[in-house]
Parts: sequence; structure tokens; C-alpha cells
Amino acid sequence: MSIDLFINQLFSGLVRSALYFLVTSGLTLLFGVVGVLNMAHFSFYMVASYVTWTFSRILLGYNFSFFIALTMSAICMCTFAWIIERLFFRHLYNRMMPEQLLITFSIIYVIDDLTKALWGATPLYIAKPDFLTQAITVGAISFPMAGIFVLALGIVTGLGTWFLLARTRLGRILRAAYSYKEMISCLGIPIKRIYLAMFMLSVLLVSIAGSAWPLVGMVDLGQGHAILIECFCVMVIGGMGSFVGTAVASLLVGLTYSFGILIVPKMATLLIFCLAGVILTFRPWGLMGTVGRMH
Amino acid sequence: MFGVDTANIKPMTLVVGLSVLVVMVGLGFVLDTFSVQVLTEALIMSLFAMSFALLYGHTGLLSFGQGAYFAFGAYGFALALTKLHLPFFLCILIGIFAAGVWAWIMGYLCVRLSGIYFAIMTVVVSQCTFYILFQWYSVTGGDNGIQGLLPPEFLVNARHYYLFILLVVALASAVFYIIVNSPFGLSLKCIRENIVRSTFVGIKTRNHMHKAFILSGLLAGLAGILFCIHTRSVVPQIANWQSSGNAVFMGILGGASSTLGPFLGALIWVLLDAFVSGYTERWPLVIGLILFAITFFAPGGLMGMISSYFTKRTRRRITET
Repeated sequence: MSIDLFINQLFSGLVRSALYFLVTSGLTLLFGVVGVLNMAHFSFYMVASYVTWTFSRILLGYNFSFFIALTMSAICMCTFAWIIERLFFRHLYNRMMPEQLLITFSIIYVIDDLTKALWGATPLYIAKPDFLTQAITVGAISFPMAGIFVLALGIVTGLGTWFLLARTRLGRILRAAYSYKEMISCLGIPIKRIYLAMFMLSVLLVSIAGSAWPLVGMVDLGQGHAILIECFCVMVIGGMGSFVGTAVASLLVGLTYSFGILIVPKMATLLIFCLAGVILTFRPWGLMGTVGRMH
Repeated sequence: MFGVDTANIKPMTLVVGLSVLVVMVGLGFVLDTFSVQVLTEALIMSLFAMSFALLYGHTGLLSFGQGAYFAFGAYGFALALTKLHLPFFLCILIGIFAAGVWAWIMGYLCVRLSGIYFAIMTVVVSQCTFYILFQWYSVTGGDNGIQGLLPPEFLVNARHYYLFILLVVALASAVFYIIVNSPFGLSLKCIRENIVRSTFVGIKTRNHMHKAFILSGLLAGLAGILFCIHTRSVVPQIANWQSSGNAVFMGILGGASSTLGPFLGALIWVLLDAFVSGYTERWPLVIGLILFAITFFAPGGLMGMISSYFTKRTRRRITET
């Protein structure tokens, strides 16, 4: 393998990892703190892409249209998350695990079909801002700006969320909820509001992922299901509920995919699956999950 | 292997089962061809729903990946029929065997995980199966699937095929009923109620879960084979999450823990599919809303609602007298 090819694959693997990380981190955090696995997370991801597409179309021709679209879609998705939480999700927290899964699973049908009704079934492309269509060339390798931007978005969002979790009061409460839920309400902290905040944070993260996706791919109805295997694998490899574990696992999975595609072109997704299988056989709680915490 | 105990099988069930069978045979002669085809599909789908019910309703394992075994059975059958040109009934056995082997391998992986990890892994397995079938163009035909799966002469007629399906489903559900009520089935219920205590009383939980997984894979595989003969073709989409979701929907709708639940769920699903999809193209929306309502308000499904109604009525009678 030549060094150029190596760097090229490394770069595309990193971009991929950034996307996986953005999609999965919200899901895994929500599961860790609240204890609900939101099967409809990938549908939110898809909706976020569509909303970004709509805003960037409305704002076509203005400066910074994409960034405004990104912000606006984040705001829309958070409002949407707030409504959904108030209507349905708050009733799920005390349910049994299978019921939670089934209810969030039924939401997939509803959201997917409504998306199809609103935006149609044809794939959509976003008009990228000028500077994102260019590429930086170093020697014989060229790095597309869109990829660099997605990577940067992933890193910045990751660091920001890490800062929120590790250094702020809210983050401390969220981490406390991860380890001991009952004690939180004993300390007089309104746990319902914490759950709401966590749900909105998770949707915010997935909304950023959904806005980043149109830069490197096309917006379509199957995008959520296309990324599902990889993201679930990232989630279980990293350990459910572990934020740092998700970051490590998404790097691992992204790089496995981009290098695996050189060796077994059609089977790269299966390679990830095998990786997850091997890791789970030896460490059923994932790389950085809490030992014995299986829910 | 399962230690069949006839003492658990009530004569009442036998009577109900046989009379349902007689009514179904009669319907096969009375109804018009379209209704017979709808009933055939309902019977096939009830096997698929049963495979979900065995895992979820009886063992407490929530599987979102039944489509994988459904498709594996169908493809095993279709490949044996079109590529190897083996006799029809041998092909059916090969298809069931293929689904069983796939369930054995994947079950080995999945039952090591519990709760949420299990559910996730089944989704991943089913999507992976879909990718294999979709991308292995030279063998599976990719997106086009495999066409022209004609049954032998005497089954081409819709009525004959209906009776054949009825026979197979009756046998399969009798076996299912016996297994569920055998000591093995009771230990599965024990695992569902409390896995830690089941380990304490000496049930080999992982081994039992693996067996249940394989059995449900076999059932799903059989359903897949019968379905692909019914439609005369097989496409990779039967392996994806929507197909697995159908099993979930039918099982939950009817009530996964009851014996009749899968039949009721499959019947309603097929009727909805045959008649509602004619009126509206927002069919997934309808499915989603029904599934949501059932899981949100009546987790026991329709059979759960019926049996809780009877329980309440009996209780009321007892208090009145």
C-alpha cells in the first residue's frame, strides 16, 4: 500500500468516524443517563438532514446560508424533541425495556412515512457553500474541504460535549444520573427536567450529524437505515452509555471500514459486524462500558 | 430433547384447535380465490409471528431480526430449487435447514448478550443478512431476487396450495404448542420472568435461550419458504428491518404470550394489508400508529385484552355471588 493511498484512506476513515460519532454519541448518552434506547434516533437523523436541506434551499444565495441552515435545523429539531418528550417519551422512563424499544420502534414507521409524505421519495442534494466545494492539495493527495469540515464539526462537537459533561454543573448531574438515578431526586434535583435536557442534547447531537451528512452524501429516506449497523456496532463496541468509549469505537469502526474496503470491497460493513461480534464475545459490556452493567 | 409431557395439554385446546382446523378447511372450499389467497398469506404470516412470539412472548427476548431467518429459509429453498434443481420437498427441507444453521450461528452470538444488547444485535444481524443477500449478486441475484419458484403441479391451484399450507401450519403450530407447554417451554417462561432465579434453580439459561432462538429461526425459515412459494419469487427486502418489523407488529398486535395471539395478529395484519393499502398509500403510518397504540396502552395485545376482560368478568361474578 502506497503512502498516498494510506493517507487518503486514513482521511476518509476519519471523516466517517466523525459522522458515526455524531450520530451515536447522542443515542448512547441518552441511554446511559435516562435508560431508554431510542430506536427512532436514526429517523431523527434523517429528518434533520431534510430540515437542513429545506433551510439551505430557502436561504439559497445568501452568505453563510449553510451555517444558518445548520443552526436553524438544530433549533427546529430541539423544539421537536421538546414536544416529543413532553408528549411521549416522559411516559417511557418507568416502562419495561421491551416496551420502550417497541414504542420507539413504532415511532420509526410514523416519522419515516411522514418524511416521505412531506419531502417525497427522491434523493435530494444540497447546494454546498463555495468554500466547501474546494479541496486542499498536499503533494499528490487532495483533501476535500467538505470532509475536513465534517471532521472539524465532529471534533468540535465532541470536545464541546465532553466539556459540558466533564466541567459543568449540568454535566456533573448527568454523570450522577448515569451512576445512581434514585439519589438524584433525593438531592432535590428535578430529574424529569434533567431527562428533558438530556433528550434535547441527544437530538441536538444527531441534528448536527444530520446537517453534516448532506455535505458528503445525498439526503434520502434510507440514510438512517444505511448507517444503522455501523452506529449500533459503535455503540456496543464502545460500551453503552460511555461517551469516551463511543469516540474510541467510532474511530475504530470508521478506520476498519475505510481500510477494509480496500481488501474486501463489498463486505466492509460485514467486517464491522465481525469486529463487534469478536469484541462482544470477550467483553460483553464493550470496550469502556461499566463491567456488569448490562441493563 | 424437550421432554414432552402430555399432562400439560388440555383437552379443551384440542377441541378448539380441531374445530378451527375444520372451519379453515371448509373456508378453503367456500370462499372465492382472492379470499383464499389472503387466508393463505395470513396462515404463512402466523408462522412468522409465532417465531417472534416464541422469543418475545415465551422467552422474553426481544428480537428485531426475525427477517434474517425468514429470508435465509426463502433463499435456501429458492437456490436449491433453481440452481441445484432438487425435488420440491427436499428443497423445503434444505431451506429450513439453512435458516436453522444461520439461527444457530447467530444465536450463539446473540444469546451471550442480554436485554438491550440482544435487541441491538438482532437488528444488526438482520441488516447484515440483507446486505449479504443484496450484494452477493452472482448467487442471490441482488436487487432482482429470484423468480419463477413454481411448486409442483398439484399445488399450483390456489385452493390446493391453501390446503397444503393449512396442513403445514397446523402441524407446525401443534409442535409449537407442545414445545411451549413442555417442561422446556415452562423453563423458557421461567427465564422470561426472572433470568437470575432461573440460573439459581439450575436451568441452563444460555443453552435454553439458544435452543429457543434456533427453534424460532426454524419457524421463521419455514414461513419464509412458504411465503416465497406463495409469491413465486424472493427479493432481498424480506430480510431488512421492515420485514422483521412485520413479525414484531403481528406478534405484538395479537399478543405474544398467548397461543392464539400470533394467528390473530397475522390475520389482522394481512387483512389490513390487503384492504387498507388499497385506500391509502400511507400504509406504514397506519402500521406505526396501531403499533404505537397497542404497545402504549395495551402491552398484552388483543388476546391480552380479551383474557383480561374475561378475568374481570369472572372476578365480578365471584364478588356478586
